[in-house]
Amino acid sequence: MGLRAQHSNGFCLLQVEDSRIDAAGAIAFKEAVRQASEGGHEDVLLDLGAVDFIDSSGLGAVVAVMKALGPDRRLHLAGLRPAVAKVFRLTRMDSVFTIHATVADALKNAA
Amino acid sequence: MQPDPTQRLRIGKTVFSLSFTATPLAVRRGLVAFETYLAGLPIAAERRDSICIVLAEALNNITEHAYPDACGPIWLRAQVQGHQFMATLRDRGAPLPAGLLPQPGPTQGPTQGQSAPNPADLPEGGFGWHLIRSLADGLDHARFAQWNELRIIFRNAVPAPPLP
Repeated sequence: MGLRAQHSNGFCLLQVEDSRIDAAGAIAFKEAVRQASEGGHEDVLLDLGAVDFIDSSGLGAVVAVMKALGPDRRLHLAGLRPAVAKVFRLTRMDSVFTIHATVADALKNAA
Repeated sequence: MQPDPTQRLRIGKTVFSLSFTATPLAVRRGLVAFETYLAGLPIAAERRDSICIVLAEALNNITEHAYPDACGPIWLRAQVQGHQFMATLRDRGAPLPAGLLPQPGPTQGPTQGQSAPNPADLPEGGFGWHLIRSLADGLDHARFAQWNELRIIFRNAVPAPPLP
């Protein structure tokens, strides 16, 4: 699972570089996010702009990532493409996560 | 009504058929091939997303539940039938448990009724059938010999051809 990490505007910004978060990659995704975010205190902003498709296993992995961050760090999502947004909407997970239209929006709102 | 020859030719191009072994990676490859096929059909992008989501969940279910201990064959066929799009999935795994296949339509989401759920209480699974039921217009399961057969219908997926 390709994941590019940087720190920006008080966020740990994680850019997913794969086009799919699916059953074949869900465990690797969880592990990559855990490694990239552990030890920090900032909220995590997950940039999904390159992700065309997510399935229920991938969604479960995103939920697991949020739980693993614990009560003091929030998971933000940005750049949801239409098929990904649809999965979040239909499962009502769009009300659980803090979703921003773009990474730029998320960073601007945090400033 | 007699189908006109051009229509039949178009229908001939609209069949997708693929056999593969039930592993998550093979499911991913199969779905990528299916998406390429679907992109060539006159189906709106938004509807194509729905079809791909449903097929992904149905294929994942086979991989996880029909073949829990080993992997076996999956056969996928999809085609346009008039205005509807139909996918048929077959596997030789465990029978689909009764009651898993309610009628499609509006269903309760995993967190419906909770405006601010406690993150620790959120499910990490169980979304699959909810997505299938939300997005498919018809589901039909049968067991023939040792095979499951799941038929998934998407109504009005294909617009009417332009009038001559």
